[in-house]
Amino acid sequence: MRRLLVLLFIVALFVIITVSDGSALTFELNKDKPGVQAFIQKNLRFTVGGAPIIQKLPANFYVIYYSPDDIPVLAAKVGKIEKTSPLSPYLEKLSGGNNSKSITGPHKEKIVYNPNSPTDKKILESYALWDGWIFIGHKKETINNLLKLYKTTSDIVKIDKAATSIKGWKEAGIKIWGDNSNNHLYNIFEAQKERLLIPLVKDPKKIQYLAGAFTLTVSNEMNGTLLVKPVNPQAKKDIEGDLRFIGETVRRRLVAVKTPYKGKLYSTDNAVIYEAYMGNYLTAQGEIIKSE
Amino acid sequence: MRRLKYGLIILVVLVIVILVWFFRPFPPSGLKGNLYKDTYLAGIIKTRGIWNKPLSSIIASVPLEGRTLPNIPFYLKPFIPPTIELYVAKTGEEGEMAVAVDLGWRSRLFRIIRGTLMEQIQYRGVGVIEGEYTIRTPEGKRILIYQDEGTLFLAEGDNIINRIIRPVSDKGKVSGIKPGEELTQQVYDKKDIAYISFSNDNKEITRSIEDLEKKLGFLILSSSGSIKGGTIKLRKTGSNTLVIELVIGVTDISEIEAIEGDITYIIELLDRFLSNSNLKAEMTINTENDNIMTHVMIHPTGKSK
Repeated sequence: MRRLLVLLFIVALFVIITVSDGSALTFELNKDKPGVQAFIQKNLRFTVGGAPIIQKLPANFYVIYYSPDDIPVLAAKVGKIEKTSPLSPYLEKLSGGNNSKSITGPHKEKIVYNPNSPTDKKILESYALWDGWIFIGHKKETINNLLKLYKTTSDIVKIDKAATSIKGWKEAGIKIWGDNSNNHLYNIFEAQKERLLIPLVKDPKKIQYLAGAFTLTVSNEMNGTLLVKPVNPQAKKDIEGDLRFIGETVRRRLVAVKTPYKGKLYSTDNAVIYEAYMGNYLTAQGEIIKSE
Repeated sequence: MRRLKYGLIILVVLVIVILVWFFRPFPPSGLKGNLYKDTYLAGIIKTRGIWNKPLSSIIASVPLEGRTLPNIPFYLKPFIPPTIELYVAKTGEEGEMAVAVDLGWRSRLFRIIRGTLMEQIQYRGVGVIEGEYTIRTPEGKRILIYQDEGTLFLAEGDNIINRIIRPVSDKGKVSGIKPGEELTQQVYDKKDIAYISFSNDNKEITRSIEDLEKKLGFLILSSSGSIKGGTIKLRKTGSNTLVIELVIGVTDISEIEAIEGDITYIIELLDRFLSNSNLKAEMTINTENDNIMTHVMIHPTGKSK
């Protein structure tokens, strides 16, 4: 009986859910904000030859999920990279040094990649420098396709007005946003369905835009707000159902591990908003049941 | 020529007699009556329902042991008995469980292969044969594989094992769920797949759920303390629709809303899980006095993958 019951249940924290897979969903992380360094150390393990690369990025950097089949792309505004720059040895190593090759990207920039990188491992092996921005990822094709999305570098940080209206947006250490044009968010959630036993979004096509702001503290508290704009008023009910389910799942996890939790779900004219406080967001992490 | 003819007839008759003898079903064991003592959950499952759609699709979606069930080759399916009875009891600290299977025409066949079956279990590293009927697992659990008359017993837990292999008559002292007639009647309806009844008189259901919640770090049925008992019935309607009928009796009417909330969340989980197999779970809940009646229909969404 226990085994049968175990099969039915899964918990995935919404932070981890959203930091897990996907395409064209942008995360902005600010290392100078409280608790963000600890979050990065626990959740973002991007390394080059075993050495973490995020430490060498500026305080403000971006993790962009573009292809469901690939790892996300790291992006940051770094200006011109000199040979003495702390990032330089990392870029040389990941691209294979003297053996590196390059292709020309959509803005005539060079996408440098390592032709001898093992094909079975999803590791950092390509990068592109474009107008003072660096993009580091696995497949050169992913970086190339991602760059096609942007006309100018300001498009990388272009945010919907609805997102900036989120409570605590300015102070947040972690921000996310993504729109569903060209089914980008749809691809994220469809990929998630393959990995998880319990899909969190029933019909991802009903999402038009998604944004969130998360403020952490050094003692692992989290205040978070997630805003989802449905494609039309009819889809709003389904989005409310999805967010209610996510909220209830988080609540059941946190109450069980005796962590303080407050959750609130409400709707405005064109969006559904879920606000949550977690006494210790780390306790909410982890899946009860792992998918295959 | 005539001698050969008679010889052939005798041989055919002999073969028929041997076959009839071999496949003549043994009567079900009377030891089953000892199993329901202290039982807080008992059920009967019809195996045929497991490899027919839509249940087979649901089981196939579960990425654990269950996945192998619908993959049993068709020629082996007749050897699997049509019904399985399940008994879960609590004696002392540990939970105990027994499965009783009426083998019917397979009785003599299983009697022959039981020893080989135990050797295979040992060979595959499940445990070590200990005595004539039991296997000791590396975790120290004792598992019984025992056939009495036409019934095969599989059991875990010393008390329940002793009740099968060293039965003591304790008429008048027996308490617990008696599956017997009620369960057997349920499986006569061709469309029924499973029927489970449970009692929370001694708070064993509550304790099991709380243990599981502690282990998982996740609230499943936080209102389980107010559950008196209930039944779960699974049946097939039409060619591809499953119906789950859940009846729960509550001890405290003020807790009805909390129990309904838990049930709704569980069915929501089920619905989301099923959506990966293009199935949908639709639920209605009604309350009558101190009983909560939940009716869940599982059917295809109409979308193709």
